[in-house]
Amino acid sequence: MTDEAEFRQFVALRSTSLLRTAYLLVGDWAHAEDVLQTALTKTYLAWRRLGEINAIEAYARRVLVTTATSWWRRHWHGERPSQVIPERTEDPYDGWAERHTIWATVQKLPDRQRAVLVLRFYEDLTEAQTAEVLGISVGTVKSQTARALATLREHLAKAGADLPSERLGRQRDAS
Amino acid sequence: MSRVEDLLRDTFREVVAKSPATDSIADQAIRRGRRARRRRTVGGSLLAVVCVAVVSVGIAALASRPGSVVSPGPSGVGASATPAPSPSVSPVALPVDVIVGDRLLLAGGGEVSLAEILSCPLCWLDGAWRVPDGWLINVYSVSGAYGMDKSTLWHVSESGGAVLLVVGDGPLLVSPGTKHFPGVLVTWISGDRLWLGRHTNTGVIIVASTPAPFSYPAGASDAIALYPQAIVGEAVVLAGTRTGGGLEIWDVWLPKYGDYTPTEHPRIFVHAVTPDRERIIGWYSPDGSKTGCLGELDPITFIPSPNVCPSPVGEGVPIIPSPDGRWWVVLGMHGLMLHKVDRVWTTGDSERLLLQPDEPFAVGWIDAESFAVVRRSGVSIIHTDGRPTEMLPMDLGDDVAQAGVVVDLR
Repeated sequence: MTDEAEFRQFVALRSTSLLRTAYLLVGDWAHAEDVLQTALTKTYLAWRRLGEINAIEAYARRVLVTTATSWWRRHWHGERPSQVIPERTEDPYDGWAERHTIWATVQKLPDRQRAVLVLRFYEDLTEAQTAEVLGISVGTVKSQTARALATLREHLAKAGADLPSERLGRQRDAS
Repeated sequence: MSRVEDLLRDTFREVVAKSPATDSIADQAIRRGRRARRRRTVGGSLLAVVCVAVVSVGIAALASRPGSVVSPGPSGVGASATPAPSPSVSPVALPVDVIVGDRLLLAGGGEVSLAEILSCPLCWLDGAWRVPDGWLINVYSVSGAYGMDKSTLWHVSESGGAVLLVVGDGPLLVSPGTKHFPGVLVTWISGDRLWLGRHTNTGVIIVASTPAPFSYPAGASDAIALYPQAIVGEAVVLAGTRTGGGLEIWDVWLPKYGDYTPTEHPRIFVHAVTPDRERIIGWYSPDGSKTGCLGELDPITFIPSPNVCPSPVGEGVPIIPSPDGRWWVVLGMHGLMLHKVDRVWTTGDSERLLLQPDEPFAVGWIDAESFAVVRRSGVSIIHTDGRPTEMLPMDLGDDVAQAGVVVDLR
């Protein structure tokens, strides 16, 4: 199989997942596609050098995250817009408000904290794998995760003022 | 696991549940990758021939804008300098300066290390020019999504030391001067302005600037950023992309007449500029067909004369004219081709296949009759007058993936 055919196969298998990760990192589908395409272009250029599929996937993910981080640095001029929020369902108490708060808060987090959350809780990477992708220490992953989760708890608590008291109580107990 | 972590997982899953299709993304990435490879292999050799300074134009203030231009003083104060490159001896006497990997191999022997400026992981050589007091090296960095790439222009002196001259947002263009703008020209976007400068022995002097150009095509949701593609006559030719799949939007900025004003122009492609720097060698499509035509285009109106239809070279293909304009080396889809220009305009099909494109290579003219092809196995010198090809065997290996023939602008 030629390099290009292998690359097409890799993209067919992994692009949807990588696009979703990109969206979580930048919060906008159009920009997520830009970021993914840039990451895939870099992966294509490095294809022969990378060799094994595991190395390719790790490289693609690392480039995706660094590209998204660059995008933030250039385009950040204030609050990030929430283009899509979780869809509301019939039951007002099924967690929609909490997820809305979570997503709105995630988009306001500093870029590294956001990346740590996406890699840890969407990609399900370990702390060590997250550290490797981001080029930071495991200790930094832990501290960034803790800070980000603390911010989320704080915003949930504030938003919880409008929620029924029993739900607030459950949320605080569980946290 | 805490409830907030569960909520976070649920939220992430929910917000990406309806992701758009990614059907054509592999094709787009491959197209961009090929363009990037072409940049690597072609280097700056599109900009051939020595510039001719005829008319002097007004020079504005010395460039000293923080973050955009660094004008090094005699002691290097205010400049970003790297350690001095250490010249060493190359075993083969080349007829022209060549960059391979992170080494500048000098004509006649010797070598200068460019490791300090070319060792970045996601960057590559985007052009190299010989100027009276050293070399200009353009390094292109893919650092993000569309419009976020960076270019850095370095001056490497003969005595040692690399100085950062310009940092541009997106592509940066170095060009021989024209009748209207003599000297070695540089144009780039930095911050919210497009700059036109001239390289001198003290740095880059600003000649003109305008607010960064944008196009507002009907139906587009966002303004399209335009970047300089060529300096021809009194025009800076600009282009931008709406889709990322090609340069669809073209326009010109006429620095002598003030700020850029958007004007409706047809889609073209600048293959090259004629050696007198007065006309565009360009692709255009009078009927909207994909094949299109090839012509020498007026740089302001894009009106062709002469022309040939259909175009014997595809859109997007680089052409490297010989210094006297009689020959073109064309980096086409089928390989490296040599065209005799007067026959292009009469028959449209004069060509000679020189090399298949299955390995990286760089090309540049040595003089009006000969050009160099840098390959893994060494440097070939090909003559247009029928003399046999000369081969200078060198083991350049994979370094040739980043190679360029230095264009002499002295």
